[in-house]
Amino acid sequence: MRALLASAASLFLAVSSVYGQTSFGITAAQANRAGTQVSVRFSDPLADVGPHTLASNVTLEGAPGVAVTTVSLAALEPRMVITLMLSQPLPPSPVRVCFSQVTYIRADVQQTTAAPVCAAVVTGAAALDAAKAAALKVLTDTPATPDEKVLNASGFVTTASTATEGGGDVSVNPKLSDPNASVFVRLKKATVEKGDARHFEVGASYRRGLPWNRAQLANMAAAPDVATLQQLLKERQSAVIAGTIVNFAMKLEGDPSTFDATNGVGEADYSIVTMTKPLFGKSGFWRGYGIPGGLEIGRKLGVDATGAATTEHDWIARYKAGAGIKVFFKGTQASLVPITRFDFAVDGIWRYLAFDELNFNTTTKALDKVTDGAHGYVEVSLKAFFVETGKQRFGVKGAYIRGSLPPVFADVKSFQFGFVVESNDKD
Amino acid sequence: MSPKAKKGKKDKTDKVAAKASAATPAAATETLRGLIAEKQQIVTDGSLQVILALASVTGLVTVDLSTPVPRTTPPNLGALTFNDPAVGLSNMQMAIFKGNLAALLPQIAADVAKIPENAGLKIGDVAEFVRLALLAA
Repeated sequence: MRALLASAASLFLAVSSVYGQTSFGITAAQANRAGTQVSVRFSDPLADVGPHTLASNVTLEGAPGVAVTTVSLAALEPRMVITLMLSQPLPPSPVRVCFSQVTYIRADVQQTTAAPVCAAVVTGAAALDAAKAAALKVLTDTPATPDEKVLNASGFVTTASTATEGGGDVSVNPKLSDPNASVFVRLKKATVEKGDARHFEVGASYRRGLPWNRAQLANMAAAPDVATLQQLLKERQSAVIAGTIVNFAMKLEGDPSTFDATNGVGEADYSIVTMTKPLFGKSGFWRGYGIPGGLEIGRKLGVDATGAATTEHDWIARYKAGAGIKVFFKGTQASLVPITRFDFAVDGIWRYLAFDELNFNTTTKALDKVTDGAHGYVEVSLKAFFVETGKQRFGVKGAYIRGSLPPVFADVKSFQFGFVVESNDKD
Repeated sequence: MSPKAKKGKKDKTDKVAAKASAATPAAATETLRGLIAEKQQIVTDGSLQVILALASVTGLVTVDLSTPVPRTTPPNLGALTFNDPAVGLSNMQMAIFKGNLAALLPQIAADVAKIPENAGLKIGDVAEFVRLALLAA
Protein backbone atom coordinates (compact mmCIF):
# COMPACT_ATOMS: atom_id res chain seq x y z
CA MET A 1 0.00 0.00 0.00
CA ARG A 2 2.85 2.38 1.00
CA ALA A 3 4.64 1.63 -2.29
CA LEU A 4 1.45 2.33 -4.21
CA LEU A 5 1.01 5.69 -2.49
CA ALA A 6 4.65 6.59 -3.15
CA SER A 7 4.24 5.72 -6.85
CA ALA A 8 1.09 7.82 -7.07
CA ALA A 9 2.85 10.76 -5.42
CA SER A 10 5.78 10.49 -7.84
CA LEU A 11 3.41 10.39 -10.79
CA PHE A 12 1.53 13.42 -9.47
CA LEU A 13 4.78 15.37 -9.06
CA ALA A 14 5.97 14.41 -12.53
CA VAL A 15 2.68 15.48 -14.12
CA SER A 16 2.69 18.73 -12.12
CA SER A 17 6.23 19.42 -13.26
CA VAL A 18 5.35 18.97 -16.93
CA TYR A 19 2.15 20.96 -16.80
CA GLY A 20 3.56 23.57 -14.44
CA GLN A 21 6.35 24.53 -16.84
CA THR A 22 5.36 27.39 -19.10
CA SER A 23 6.39 27.28 -22.72
CA PHE A 24 8.94 29.73 -24.08
CA GLY A 25 7.60 32.68 -26.06
CA ILE A 26 7.12 36.41 -26.47
CA THR A 27 5.28 38.01 -23.57
CA ALA A 28 4.91 41.44 -25.20
CA ALA A 29 5.86 43.14 -28.47
CA GLN A 30 5.30 46.87 -28.43
CA ALA A 31 5.98 49.52 -31.03
CA ASN A 32 7.13 52.95 -29.95
CA ARG A 33 4.90 55.97 -30.44
CA ALA A 34 6.50 56.79 -33.82
CA GLY A 35 6.29 53.18 -35.00
CA THR A 36 9.99 53.11 -35.89
CA GLN A 37 11.06 50.73 -33.13
CA VAL A 38 9.65 47.48 -31.73
CA SER A 39 10.55 46.27 -28.25
CA VAL A 40 10.08 42.53 -27.71
CA ARG A 41 10.03 40.96 -24.25
CA PHE A 42 10.52 37.20 -23.93
CA SER A 43 9.46 34.80 -21.19
CA ASP A 44 13.04 33.63 -20.49
CA PRO A 45 16.54 35.16 -20.62
CA LEU A 46 18.13 35.07 -24.05
CA ALA A 47 21.60 33.88 -25.00
CA ASP A 48 24.08 36.66 -25.80
CA VAL A 49 24.73 35.13 -29.22
CA GLY A 50 22.25 33.23 -31.37
CA PRO A 51 19.97 33.42 -34.37
CA HIS A 52 17.73 35.94 -32.59
CA THR A 53 20.48 38.57 -32.73
CA LEU A 54 20.56 38.59 -36.55
CA ALA A 55 18.26 41.03 -38.37
CA SER A 56 17.93 38.57 -41.25
CA ASN A 57 16.13 36.14 -38.92
CA VAL A 58 13.42 38.64 -37.96
CA THR A 59 10.42 39.35 -40.16
CA LEU A 60 7.51 41.74 -39.81
CA GLU A 61 4.38 40.13 -41.23
CA GLY A 62 1.85 42.65 -42.49
CA ALA A 63 4.46 45.39 -42.97
CA PRO A 64 5.72 45.08 -46.55
CA GLY A 65 8.73 47.27 -47.25
CA VAL A 66 9.61 47.68 -43.55
CA ALA A 67 12.95 46.05 -42.75
CA VAL A 68 14.68 45.45 -39.44
CA THR A 69 17.94 47.40 -39.56
CA THR A 70 19.35 46.64 -36.10
CA VAL A 71 18.70 44.02 -33.43
CA SER A 72 19.84 45.07 -29.94
CA LEU A 73 19.84 42.84 -26.91
CA ALA A 74 19.18 44.50 -23.53
CA ALA A 75 22.36 45.54 -21.72
CA LEU A 76 20.98 44.48 -18.34
CA GLU A 77 21.01 40.83 -17.33
CA PRO A 78 18.88 38.76 -17.35
CA ARG A 79 18.52 39.82 -20.99
CA MET A 80 14.86 39.26 -21.83
CA VAL A 81 14.30 42.22 -24.16
CA ILE A 82 15.26 42.75 -27.80
CA THR A 83 14.88 46.13 -29.49
CA LEU A 84 14.33 46.18 -33.26
CA MET A 85 15.12 49.37 -35.17
CA LEU A 86 13.05 49.65 -38.34
CA SER A 87 13.84 51.15 -41.74
CA GLN A 88 10.54 53.10 -41.74
CA PRO A 89 7.43 53.44 -39.54
CA LEU A 90 5.03 50.51 -39.26
CA PRO A 91 1.74 50.74 -41.16
CA PRO A 92 -1.48 51.27 -39.16
CA SER A 93 -2.69 47.75 -40.05
CA PRO A 94 -1.98 44.77 -37.70
CA VAL A 95 1.64 43.57 -37.73
CA ARG A 96 3.24 40.40 -36.38
CA VAL A 97 6.90 40.05 -35.50
CA CYS A 98 8.51 36.65 -36.05
CA PHE A 99 11.91 35.31 -35.04
CA SER A 100 12.81 32.26 -37.10
CA GLN A 101 14.76 30.85 -34.15
CA VAL A 102 15.61 32.02 -30.64
CA THR A 103 18.26 30.70 -28.28
CA TYR A 104 17.16 31.09 -24.67
CA ILE A 105 18.35 29.97 -21.25
CA ARG A 106 16.19 27.93 -18.89
CA ALA A 107 17.55 26.29 -15.75
CA ASP A 108 21.08 27.32 -16.83
CA VAL A 109 20.72 25.33 -20.06
CA GLN A 110 20.74 26.96 -23.52
CA GLN A 111 17.95 25.81 -25.79
CA THR A 112 17.10 26.83 -29.35
CA THR A 113 13.52 26.86 -30.55
CA ALA A 114 12.65 24.56 -33.44
CA ALA A 115 9.71 26.62 -34.71
CA PRO A 116 9.43 30.37 -35.32
CA VAL A 117 8.49 32.52 -32.32
CA CYS A 118 5.87 35.12 -33.23
CA ALA A 119 3.58 37.69 -31.61
CA ALA A 120 1.31 40.53 -32.61
CA VAL A 121 2.89 43.97 -32.29
CA VAL A 122 0.89 46.25 -30.02
CA THR A 123 0.68 49.80 -31.33
CA GLY A 124 -1.02 52.95 -30.09
CA ALA A 125 -0.37 55.46 -27.33
CA ALA A 126 -3.13 54.14 -25.04
CA ALA A 127 -1.58 50.67 -24.79
CA LEU A 128 1.86 52.15 -24.12
CA ASP A 129 0.56 54.50 -21.44
CA ALA A 130 -1.28 51.62 -19.74
CA ALA A 131 1.85 49.43 -19.76
CA LYS A 132 3.93 52.31 -18.39
CA ALA A 133 1.41 52.96 -15.61
CA ALA A 134 1.48 49.25 -14.66
CA ALA A 135 5.29 49.28 -14.52
CA LEU A 136 5.23 52.40 -12.31
CA LYS A 137 2.75 50.72 -9.97
CA VAL A 138 5.22 47.87 -9.46
CA LEU A 139 7.76 50.48 -8.30
CA THR A 140 5.43 52.44 -6.04
CA ASP A 141 4.07 49.23 -4.48
CA THR A 142 7.55 48.04 -3.47
CA PRO A 143 7.85 48.26 0.34
CA ALA A 144 10.12 51.04 1.60
CA THR A 145 13.61 50.03 2.67
CA PRO A 146 13.45 49.00 6.32
CA ASP A 147 17.15 49.33 7.13
CA GLU A 148 17.36 53.09 6.77
CA LYS A 149 15.44 55.79 8.46
CA VAL A 150 15.69 59.52 8.68
CA LEU A 151 16.38 60.57 12.25
CA ASN A 152 15.34 64.16 11.96
CA ALA A 153 14.09 66.42 9.24
CA SER A 154 17.55 67.72 8.48
CA GLY A 155 18.15 64.87 6.08
CA PHE A 156 20.25 63.18 8.73
CA VAL A 157 20.33 59.44 8.07
CA THR A 158 21.30 56.62 10.38
CA THR A 159 21.23 52.85 10.39
CA ALA A 160 20.99 52.58 14.12
CA SER A 161 18.95 49.78 15.64
CA THR A 162 15.22 50.22 15.65
CA ALA A 163 14.90 48.58 19.04
CA THR A 164 15.96 50.27 22.27
CA GLU A 165 15.38 48.89 25.70
CA GLY A 166 12.84 51.01 27.50
CA GLY A 167 12.21 53.24 24.53
CA GLY A 168 11.35 53.65 20.92
CA ASP A 169 13.06 54.91 17.80
CA VAL A 170 10.39 55.16 15.16
CA SER A 171 10.33 56.64 11.70
CA VAL A 172 7.29 56.55 9.44
CA ASN A 173 7.32 57.86 5.88
CA PRO A 174 3.93 57.42 4.18
CA LYS A 175 3.89 57.52 0.37
CA LEU A 176 2.84 60.65 -1.50
CA SER A 177 1.96 61.05 -5.15
CA ASP A 178 5.13 63.11 -5.74
CA PRO A 179 8.15 60.84 -5.11
CA ASN A 180 10.30 63.86 -4.21
CA ALA A 181 7.91 64.75 -1.39
CA SER A 182 7.37 62.83 1.82
CA VAL A 183 5.42 63.06 5.04
CA PHE A 184 7.34 61.98 8.11
CA VAL A 185 6.68 61.09 11.74
CA ARG A 186 9.79 60.53 13.86
CA LEU A 187 10.15 59.65 17.50
CA LYS A 188 13.18 59.15 19.71
CA LYS A 189 12.02 58.35 23.18
CA ALA A 190 13.39 56.19 25.98
CA THR A 191 12.77 55.66 29.65
CA VAL A 192 16.42 54.96 30.38
CA GLU A 193 18.21 57.62 32.45
CA LYS A 194 20.41 59.72 30.12
CA GLY A 195 19.01 57.86 27.15
CA ASP A 196 15.90 59.92 26.43
CA ALA A 197 16.34 62.42 23.59
CA ARG A 198 12.70 63.59 24.07
CA HIS A 199 12.49 64.12 20.34
CA PHE A 200 9.33 63.98 18.24
CA GLU A 201 8.56 65.59 14.93
CA VAL A 202 5.93 65.41 12.23
CA GLY A 203 5.97 67.24 8.94
CA ALA A 204 6.36 67.22 5.18
CA SER A 205 9.53 67.53 3.14
CA TYR A 206 10.62 67.91 -0.45
CA ARG A 207 14.05 66.93 -1.68
CA ARG A 208 15.78 66.81 -5.03
CA GLY A 209 18.97 65.04 -6.06
CA LEU A 210 21.39 66.82 -8.37
CA PRO A 211 24.13 64.90 -10.20
CA TRP A 212 27.75 65.91 -9.79
CA ASN A 213 29.51 67.19 -12.96
CA ARG A 214 26.47 67.47 -15.22
CA ALA A 215 28.66 68.35 -18.22
CA GLN A 216 30.31 64.94 -17.98
CA LEU A 217 26.89 63.25 -17.96
CA ALA A 218 25.86 65.30 -20.99
CA ASN A 219 29.01 64.08 -22.77
CA MET A 220 28.08 60.51 -21.83
CA ALA A 221 24.57 61.01 -23.24
CA ALA A 222 26.05 62.34 -26.49
CA ALA A 223 29.00 59.91 -26.70
CA PRO A 224 29.63 59.11 -30.38
CA ASP A 225 30.89 55.56 -29.67
CA VAL A 226 31.21 53.02 -26.88
CA ALA A 227 34.95 53.62 -26.46
CA THR A 228 34.34 57.28 -25.56
CA LEU A 229 31.49 56.25 -23.27
CA GLN A 230 33.70 53.69 -21.51
CA GLN A 231 36.40 56.32 -20.91
CA LEU A 232 33.90 58.86 -19.58
CA LEU A 233 32.44 56.27 -17.20
CA LYS A 234 35.90 55.36 -15.97
CA GLU A 235 36.58 59.04 -15.17
CA ARG A 236 33.22 59.34 -13.42
CA GLN A 237 33.79 56.25 -11.27
CA SER A 238 37.13 57.63 -10.08
CA ALA A 239 35.32 60.57 -8.41
CA VAL A 240 34.37 60.52 -4.72
CA ILE A 241 31.32 62.77 -4.85
CA ALA A 242 28.22 61.37 -6.58
CA GLY A 243 25.93 64.37 -6.24
CA THR A 244 24.13 66.79 -3.98
CA ILE A 245 20.67 67.01 -2.45
CA VAL A 246 18.60 70.03 -1.56
CA ASN A 247 15.95 69.47 1.08
CA PHE A 248 13.06 71.65 2.29
CA ALA A 249 10.72 70.77 5.15
CA MET A 250 7.95 72.16 7.32
CA LYS A 251 7.45 70.42 10.65
CA LEU A 252 6.09 70.50 14.14
CA GLU A 253 8.60 69.35 16.75
CA GLY A 254 7.70 68.54 20.33
CA ASP A 255 8.72 66.90 23.58
CA PRO A 256 6.87 63.56 23.35
CA SER A 257 6.62 63.29 27.15
CA THR A 258 4.21 66.17 27.70
CA PHE A 259 4.05 68.17 24.45
CA ASP A 260 4.44 71.31 26.57
CA ALA A 261 7.31 72.34 24.34
CA THR A 262 6.18 72.49 20.73
CA ASN A 263 7.74 74.43 17.86
CA GLY A 264 6.68 75.14 14.29
CA VAL A 265 9.81 75.03 12.13
CA GLY A 266 10.66 75.48 8.46
CA GLU A 267 14.03 74.22 7.27
CA ALA A 268 16.29 74.05 4.26
CA ASP A 269 19.59 72.21 3.90
CA TYR A 270 22.11 71.09 1.34
CA SER A 271 23.86 67.68 1.41
CA ILE A 272 26.85 66.35 -0.47
CA VAL A 273 26.59 62.61 -1.12
CA THR A 274 29.58 60.38 -1.89
CA MET A 275 29.69 57.45 -4.26
CA THR A 276 29.61 53.95 -2.83
CA LYS A 277 33.27 52.93 -2.89
CA PRO A 278 34.52 49.32 -2.81
CA LEU A 279 36.47 48.07 0.20
CA PHE A 280 38.57 44.87 0.49
CA GLY A 281 38.20 44.12 -3.21
CA LYS A 282 34.44 44.13 -3.54
CA SER A 283 33.68 42.31 -0.30
CA GLY A 284 32.64 45.56 1.28
CA PHE A 285 31.98 49.22 0.68
CA TRP A 286 31.82 52.61 2.30
CA ARG A 287 29.61 55.57 1.57
CA GLY A 288 28.98 58.87 3.27
CA TYR A 289 27.38 62.28 3.17
CA GLY A 290 28.03 65.74 4.51
CA ILE A 291 25.69 68.61 5.30
CA PRO A 292 27.81 71.75 5.06
CA GLY A 293 24.91 73.99 5.91
CA GLY A 294 21.26 74.22 6.73
CA LEU A 295 18.86 76.62 8.41
CA GLU A 296 15.94 76.01 10.74
CA ILE A 297 13.66 78.98 11.27
CA GLY A 298 10.50 78.83 13.36
CA ARG A 299 8.51 79.89 16.41
CA LYS A 300 7.71 78.39 19.76
CA LEU A 301 4.07 77.44 20.07
CA GLY A 302 2.22 77.29 23.35
CA VAL A 303 5.01 78.03 25.85
CA ASP A 304 7.43 80.86 26.44
CA ALA A 305 11.18 80.69 26.91
CA THR A 306 10.78 79.26 30.41
CA GLY A 307 8.14 76.66 29.51
CA ALA A 308 5.20 78.66 30.84
CA ALA A 309 1.98 78.89 28.84
CA THR A 310 1.89 82.03 26.69
CA THR A 311 0.35 83.62 23.62
CA GLU A 312 3.59 85.45 22.80
CA HIS A 313 5.63 83.18 20.59
CA ASP A 314 9.42 83.56 20.51
CA TRP A 315 11.45 83.07 17.38
CA ILE A 316 13.71 80.11 16.71
CA ALA A 317 16.77 80.35 14.42
CA ARG A 318 19.32 77.56 14.07
CA TYR A 319 22.26 76.84 11.77
CA LYS A 320 23.15 73.19 11.33
CA ALA A 321 25.82 71.01 9.75
CA GLY A 322 26.36 67.28 9.80
CA ALA A 323 28.01 64.23 8.33
CA GLY A 324 27.75 60.45 8.29
CA ILE A 325 29.55 57.39 7.04
CA LYS A 326 28.63 53.74 6.67
CA VAL A 327 31.11 50.89 6.30
CA PHE A 328 29.91 47.44 5.28
CA PHE A 329 31.79 44.19 4.87
CA LYS A 330 30.49 40.79 3.88
CA GLY A 331 32.99 37.98 4.35
CA THR A 332 33.17 34.73 2.47
CA GLN A 333 33.76 31.27 3.88
CA ALA A 334 37.29 31.46 2.54
CA SER A 335 38.12 34.75 4.27
CA LEU A 336 40.64 34.72 7.10
CA VAL A 337 38.53 36.99 9.32
CA PRO A 338 35.90 35.09 11.37
CA ILE A 339 33.37 37.91 10.83
CA THR A 340 30.80 37.01 8.16
CA ARG A 341 29.22 40.46 8.09
CA PHE A 342 30.17 43.83 9.55
CA ASP A 343 28.04 46.95 9.51
CA PHE A 344 29.33 50.18 11.06
CA ALA A 345 27.75 53.64 10.87
CA VAL A 346 28.44 57.04 12.38
CA ASP A 347 26.02 59.95 11.97
CA GLY A 348 26.39 63.34 13.55
CA ILE A 349 24.66 66.70 13.45
CA TRP A 350 25.65 70.01 14.97
CA ARG A 351 23.32 72.94 15.59
CA TYR A 352 23.99 76.52 16.59
CA LEU A 353 21.02 78.18 18.32
CA ALA A 354 20.86 81.93 17.68
CA PHE A 355 18.12 82.52 20.31
CA ASP A 356 17.35 80.99 23.69
CA GLU A 357 15.36 77.77 23.50
CA LEU A 358 13.84 75.52 26.13
CA ASN A 359 16.20 73.07 27.77
CA PHE A 360 15.19 70.00 29.77
CA ASN A 361 16.74 70.13 33.22
CA THR A 362 17.90 66.61 34.12
CA THR A 363 18.21 67.57 37.82
CA THR A 364 14.72 68.99 38.33
CA LYS A 365 13.19 66.88 35.50
CA ALA A 366 11.41 69.99 34.23
CA LEU A 367 11.55 72.54 31.40
CA ASP A 368 12.81 75.27 33.69
CA LYS A 369 15.91 76.55 31.88
CA VAL A 370 16.98 77.82 28.49
CA THR A 371 19.96 77.26 26.25
CA ASP A 372 21.56 78.70 23.12
CA GLY A 373 24.83 78.26 21.23
CA ALA A 374 26.27 74.96 20.00
CA HIS A 375 24.58 71.57 20.44
CA GLY A 376 25.83 68.38 18.84
CA TYR A 377 24.39 64.91 18.49
CA VAL A 378 26.16 61.75 17.36
CA GLU A 379 25.10 58.14 16.93
CA VAL A 380 27.55 55.31 16.42
CA SER A 381 26.21 51.86 15.61
CA LEU A 382 27.93 48.58 14.98
CA LYS A 383 26.70 45.13 14.03
CA ALA A 384 28.99 42.16 13.56
CA PHE A 385 27.87 38.65 12.66
CA PHE A 386 30.00 35.56 13.25
CA VAL A 387 27.76 32.63 12.32
CA GLU A 388 25.33 32.28 9.42
CA THR A 389 23.00 29.37 8.92
CA GLY A 390 20.64 28.91 5.99
CA LYS A 391 17.96 31.22 7.32
CA GLN A 392 19.53 33.20 10.16
CA ARG A 393 22.71 34.96 11.17
CA PHE A 394 23.97 35.49 14.72
CA GLY A 395 26.12 38.27 16.09
CA VAL A 396 26.46 41.24 18.39
CA LYS A 397 25.44 44.84 18.13
CA GLY A 398 26.35 48.00 19.94
CA ALA A 399 25.32 51.63 19.81
CA TYR A 400 26.63 54.81 21.38
CA ILE A 401 24.58 57.99 21.47
CA ARG A 402 25.79 61.34 22.78
CA GLY A 403 24.40 64.87 22.51
CA SER A 404 21.03 66.58 22.33
CA LEU A 405 18.21 67.16 19.86
CA PRO A 406 15.40 69.72 19.53
CA PRO A 407 13.03 70.79 20.89
CA VAL A 408 14.23 70.53 24.52
CA PHE A 409 17.89 69.53 23.98
CA ALA A 410 17.85 66.90 26.74
CA ASP A 411 21.36 65.64 27.36
CA VAL A 412 21.72 62.05 26.11
CA LYS A 413 24.63 59.76 26.83
CA SER A 414 23.89 56.09 26.35
CA PHE A 415 25.60 52.88 25.33
CA GLN A 416 23.84 49.72 24.23
CA PHE A 417 25.25 46.25 23.66
CA GLY A 418 23.55 42.98 22.94
CA PHE A 419 23.29 39.84 20.90
CA VAL A 420 21.36 39.93 17.66
CA VAL A 421 19.71 37.35 15.43
CA GLU A 422 18.63 38.47 11.96
CA SER A 423 16.83 36.76 9.13
CA ASN A 424 19.01 36.13 6.10
CA ASP A 425 16.13 37.38 3.95
CA LYS A 426 16.97 40.89 5.12
CA ASP A 427 20.11 41.56 3.10
CA MET B 1 29.63 78.12 -28.47
CA SER B 2 32.68 78.06 -26.18
CA PRO B 3 36.15 77.31 -27.67
CA LYS B 4 36.22 74.06 -25.65
CA ALA B 5 32.86 72.92 -27.05
CA LYS B 6 33.97 73.89 -30.56
CA LYS B 7 37.13 71.83 -30.13
CA GLY B 8 35.10 68.82 -28.93
CA LYS B 9 32.78 69.04 -31.91
CA LYS B 10 35.76 69.37 -34.29
CA ASP B 11 37.42 66.32 -32.73
CA LYS B 12 34.30 64.20 -33.28
CA THR B 13 33.99 65.40 -36.91
CA ASP B 14 37.67 64.69 -37.51
CA LYS B 15 37.29 61.19 -36.09
CA VAL B 16 34.45 60.28 -38.46
CA ALA B 17 36.17 61.96 -41.41
CA ALA B 18 39.45 60.18 -40.76
CA LYS B 19 37.73 56.79 -40.56
CA ALA B 20 35.81 57.46 -43.79
CA SER B 21 38.64 58.99 -45.86
CA ALA B 22 41.12 56.26 -45.05
CA ALA B 23 39.09 53.63 -46.83
CA THR B 24 37.37 52.81 -50.12
CA PRO B 25 33.81 54.13 -50.65
CA ALA B 26 32.37 50.71 -49.78
CA ALA B 27 34.45 50.46 -46.64
CA ALA B 28 33.54 54.04 -45.72
CA THR B 29 29.84 53.18 -46.05
CA GLU B 30 30.41 50.12 -43.87
CA THR B 31 32.22 52.27 -41.28
CA LEU B 32 29.37 54.76 -41.27
CA ARG B 33 26.85 51.95 -40.90
CA GLY B 34 28.89 50.60 -37.99
CA LEU B 35 28.93 54.00 -36.31
CA ILE B 36 25.16 54.32 -36.73
CA ALA B 37 24.63 50.83 -35.33
CA GLU B 38 26.93 51.63 -32.40
CA LYS B 39 25.00 54.83 -31.69
CA GLN B 40 21.69 52.96 -31.93
CA GLN B 41 23.01 50.41 -29.47
CA ILE B 42 23.71 53.23 -27.01
CA VAL B 43 20.06 54.38 -26.88
CA THR B 44 17.64 51.50 -27.39
CA ASP B 45 15.69 50.17 -24.43
CA GLY B 46 17.38 52.42 -21.86
CA SER B 47 18.93 49.54 -19.91
CA LEU B 48 22.45 50.75 -20.71
CA GLN B 49 21.55 54.19 -19.35
CA VAL B 50 20.22 52.57 -16.17
CA ILE B 51 23.57 50.80 -15.76
CA LEU B 52 25.54 54.00 -16.48
CA ALA B 53 23.44 56.05 -14.04
CA LEU B 54 23.96 53.38 -11.39
CA ALA B 55 27.69 52.99 -12.03
CA SER B 56 27.94 56.78 -11.64
CA VAL B 57 26.83 56.39 -8.01
CA THR B 58 28.48 53.10 -6.98
CA GLY B 59 31.93 51.79 -7.77
CA LEU B 60 30.70 48.28 -6.99
CA VAL B 61 28.94 48.20 -10.37
CA THR B 62 31.14 48.15 -13.46
CA VAL B 63 30.36 47.63 -17.12
CA ASP B 64 32.55 46.47 -19.98
CA LEU B 65 31.30 48.03 -23.21
CA SER B 66 34.02 46.55 -25.41
CA THR B 67 32.13 43.28 -25.91
CA PRO B 68 29.25 42.98 -28.45
CA VAL B 69 26.81 42.77 -25.53
CA PRO B 70 27.77 44.88 -22.47
CA ARG B 71 28.98 42.84 -19.49
CA THR B 72 28.28 44.09 -15.99
CA THR B 73 29.68 43.29 -12.58
CA PRO B 74 27.75 41.92 -10.76
CA PRO B 75 26.43 39.95 -13.76
CA ASN B 76 22.84 39.45 -12.55
CA LEU B 77 22.30 43.16 -11.94
CA GLY B 78 18.68 43.25 -13.13
CA ALA B 79 17.66 40.71 -10.49
CA LEU B 80 19.21 42.69 -7.60
CA THR B 81 17.83 45.55 -5.56
CA PHE B 82 19.62 48.90 -5.31
CA ASN B 83 20.44 48.27 -1.64
CA ASP B 84 21.87 44.80 -2.23
CA PRO B 85 25.38 44.59 -0.69
CA ALA B 86 26.73 43.98 -4.20
CA VAL B 87 25.32 47.35 -5.31
CA GLY B 88 25.37 49.34 -2.06
CA LEU B 89 22.96 52.25 -2.64
CA SER B 90 21.07 54.09 0.11
CA ASN B 91 17.75 55.90 -0.27
CA MET B 92 19.68 59.17 -0.31
CA GLN B 93 21.81 57.97 -3.23
CA MET B 94 18.63 56.96 -5.11
CA ALA B 95 17.93 60.68 -5.52
CA ILE B 96 21.34 61.06 -7.21
CA PHE B 97 20.75 57.96 -9.38
CA LYS B 98 17.51 59.54 -10.61
CA GLY B 99 19.32 62.79 -11.37
CA ASN B 100 21.94 60.88 -13.38
CA LEU B 101 19.31 58.92 -15.29
CA ALA B 102 17.35 62.08 -16.15
CA ALA B 103 20.55 63.67 -17.47
CA LEU B 104 21.32 60.61 -19.62
CA LEU B 105 17.75 60.30 -20.90
CA PRO B 106 16.42 63.88 -20.95
CA GLN B 107 13.54 62.85 -23.21
CA ILE B 108 11.93 60.96 -20.30
CA ALA B 109 13.11 63.17 -17.40
CA ALA B 110 9.51 63.71 -16.23
CA ASP B 111 8.98 59.93 -16.02
CA VAL B 112 12.30 59.37 -14.23
CA ALA B 113 11.18 61.87 -11.57
CA LYS B 114 8.28 59.52 -10.75
CA ILE B 115 10.59 56.69 -9.65
CA PRO B 116 10.37 56.35 -5.84
CA GLU B 117 13.58 57.06 -3.90
CA ASN B 118 13.51 53.60 -2.39
CA ALA B 119 16.73 51.59 -2.47
CA GLY B 120 14.62 48.45 -2.01
CA LEU B 121 13.50 48.66 -5.65
CA LYS B 122 14.58 45.93 -8.04
CA ILE B 123 16.93 47.30 -10.70
CA GLY B 124 15.19 45.23 -13.39
CA ASP B 125 11.83 46.79 -12.48
CA VAL B 126 13.26 50.28 -12.91
CA ALA B 127 14.78 49.26 -16.27
CA GLU B 128 11.38 47.96 -17.37
CA PHE B 129 9.70 51.26 -16.48
CA VAL B 130 12.42 53.17 -18.35
CA ARG B 131 11.97 50.92 -21.42
CA LEU B 132 8.24 51.62 -21.54
CA ALA B 133 8.74 55.34 -20.89
CA LEU B 134 11.15 55.51 -23.86
CA LEU B 135 8.66 53.71 -26.10
CA ALA B 136 5.90 56.08 -25.03
CA ALA B 137 8.07 59.21 -25.42
